[in-house]
Amino acid sequence: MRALIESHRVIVCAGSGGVGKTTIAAALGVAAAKMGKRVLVLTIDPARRLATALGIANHANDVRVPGQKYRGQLWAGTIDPARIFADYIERHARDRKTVERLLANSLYQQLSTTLSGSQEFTSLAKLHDAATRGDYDLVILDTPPAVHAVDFLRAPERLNAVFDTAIVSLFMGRTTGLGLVATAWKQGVKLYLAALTRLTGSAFVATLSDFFSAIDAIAPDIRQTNLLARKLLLDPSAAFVLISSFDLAKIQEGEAFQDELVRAGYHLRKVIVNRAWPRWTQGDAASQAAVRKSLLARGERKLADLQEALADYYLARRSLHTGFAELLILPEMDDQIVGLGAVEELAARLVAEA
Amino acid sequence: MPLKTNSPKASDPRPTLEGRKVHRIVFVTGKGGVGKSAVAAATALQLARAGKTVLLVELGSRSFYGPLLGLPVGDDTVRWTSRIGISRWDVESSLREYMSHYLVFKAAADWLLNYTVMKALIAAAPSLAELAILGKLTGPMRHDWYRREVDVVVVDAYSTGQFMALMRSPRGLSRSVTSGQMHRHAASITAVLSEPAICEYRLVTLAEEMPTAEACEMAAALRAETGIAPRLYINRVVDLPAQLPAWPAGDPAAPFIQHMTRVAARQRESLRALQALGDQSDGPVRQLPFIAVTDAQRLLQALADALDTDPGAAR
Repeated sequence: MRALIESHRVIVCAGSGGVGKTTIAAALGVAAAKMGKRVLVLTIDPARRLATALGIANHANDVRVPGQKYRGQLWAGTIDPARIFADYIERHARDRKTVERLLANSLYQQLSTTLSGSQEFTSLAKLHDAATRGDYDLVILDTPPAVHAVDFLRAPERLNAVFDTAIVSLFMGRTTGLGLVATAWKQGVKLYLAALTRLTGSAFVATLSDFFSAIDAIAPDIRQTNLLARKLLLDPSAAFVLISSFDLAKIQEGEAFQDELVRAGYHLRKVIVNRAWPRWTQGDAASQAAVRKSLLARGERKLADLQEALADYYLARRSLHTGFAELLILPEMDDQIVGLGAVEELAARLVAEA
Repeated sequence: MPLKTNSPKASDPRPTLEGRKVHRIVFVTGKGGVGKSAVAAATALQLARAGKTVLLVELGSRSFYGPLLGLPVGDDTVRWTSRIGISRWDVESSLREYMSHYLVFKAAADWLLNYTVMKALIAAAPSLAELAILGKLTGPMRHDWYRREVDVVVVDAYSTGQFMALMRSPRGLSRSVTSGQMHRHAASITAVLSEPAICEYRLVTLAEEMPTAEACEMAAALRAETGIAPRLYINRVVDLPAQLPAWPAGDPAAPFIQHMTRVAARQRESLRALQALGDQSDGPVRQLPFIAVTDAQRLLQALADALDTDPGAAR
């Protein structure tokens, strides 16, 4: 882990929901700061997970994490998709009226806050900004909550699709090409809009049309940001770290993500299996037998049976096959990770176990 | 444009369910990693044991149940047990199915959907994606022509934040698009999601601080949005005595006892927090046992056993 932190400018922590991405991202940040780095940990933090873990308040700007005594500096930044989108519009819209029209559009309101890849986009925008500004040696991104790890990779595509020139042109009534092609295009558009109106009603089509004509002004900038962010992530100085947990479904999903990352040309440097097992289960068969014996000696039969069942279970989990190349297995921490002290302990373990 | 003409009556969505063969919907949600998909599958088993025919639906870009159960889960329903089918719904196929009804020729629907712009719109425009999924799910309650021959659909839904966005999308759209087909669709979907005779919400959590806090917030949000209080489930509860024995420090069993003492404290704390929700929860807080097996089928059957002990759970 030490070498990984040393040799990269960007670390992306990916993984499906509930595996502990945010906590690992924070711990990597602490480890890097201890190594003397100026490091920023970025997260979309709807449940204030990172904020709670690091003891900071949600804040519009990057915050220097209080209570640190490191060689380097640990900073934390929270990403607010709605605000970042609004900033984009303010900066790139032609006039005040366009800004207001867009902010008031119901499709825009959903786009800036919900499912459509906007969280991923704003994460990438902020990541690119922080990584190229020169204020930090290392930026660590905790990817937004998603059902599947791969959703993060696909999000820019989905968002690009919204800002596709073809759609914008369609709703703005522009034509592309010349002569027959343009006529065919116009004809297609007419049919298409008629069908859409038939299916959804004219009020909806009007909302759509309004939305697409209003975003026309910011579309090039969105595409450009997506392009730059992608370039940054494809660079060998950007490391992907996949966080997984030790059950069959998560392992299968992790392996699929690994394949997809490698195919797309990204650099997956480490797979962390988080909270693999409680520490007490780490002893060998003989020491587990000793635990059982001690429990039985004091008449705790029920607890002895529980201990045996759990020890067997974690042993079976340990033998699950994984196709991961660079694997790091972290046992469960004894306590829930709250506060900088707990994150420091995890960081120490991350660096030690590599 | 070859469009089928519908009488206004047929396309008029009515919140009443008279004369329509409808099914119940059980949504299973919770923070990521709490075992939501396993609880959804066990819920399907539980309902099947009670004699119901069940469709277990998963959303999202990849199948969870396919690799887990060794089934080719996709758009078309695959049999899991004699009473349970599983399918994965994605936005495009949901919308295609829906539009096919309104367009006379399937070729026309295909043409429309294969159109680059339409594809891009589906992939990107947020309301369309959510409406497509919810529209398909609630179709039998809103249209005479829509038949789905099952008793219950169990939805392995998105996790917390995304699920609430999904639930809010039809109401948001019906407010902003104030007339036309889309408005009527959105309004009728909202009505179905708020109908306790149809919808049940199961909210799964773990006996840990973050998932419990999220579950408490979400129970309130769900109640506010739909008027229906969710059933709360604490998953992976270890069966422990009320008081764990004190243990001498150097003893081989001490780390085990210490760990279990912490687990017991977390479980008590989580239960207390969820019980404090009072009438924002549907009935008592349910506890599902930690099942110490790695085999998926055995795990799901054992979870269904636990759900079975819950009186009145399989309506």
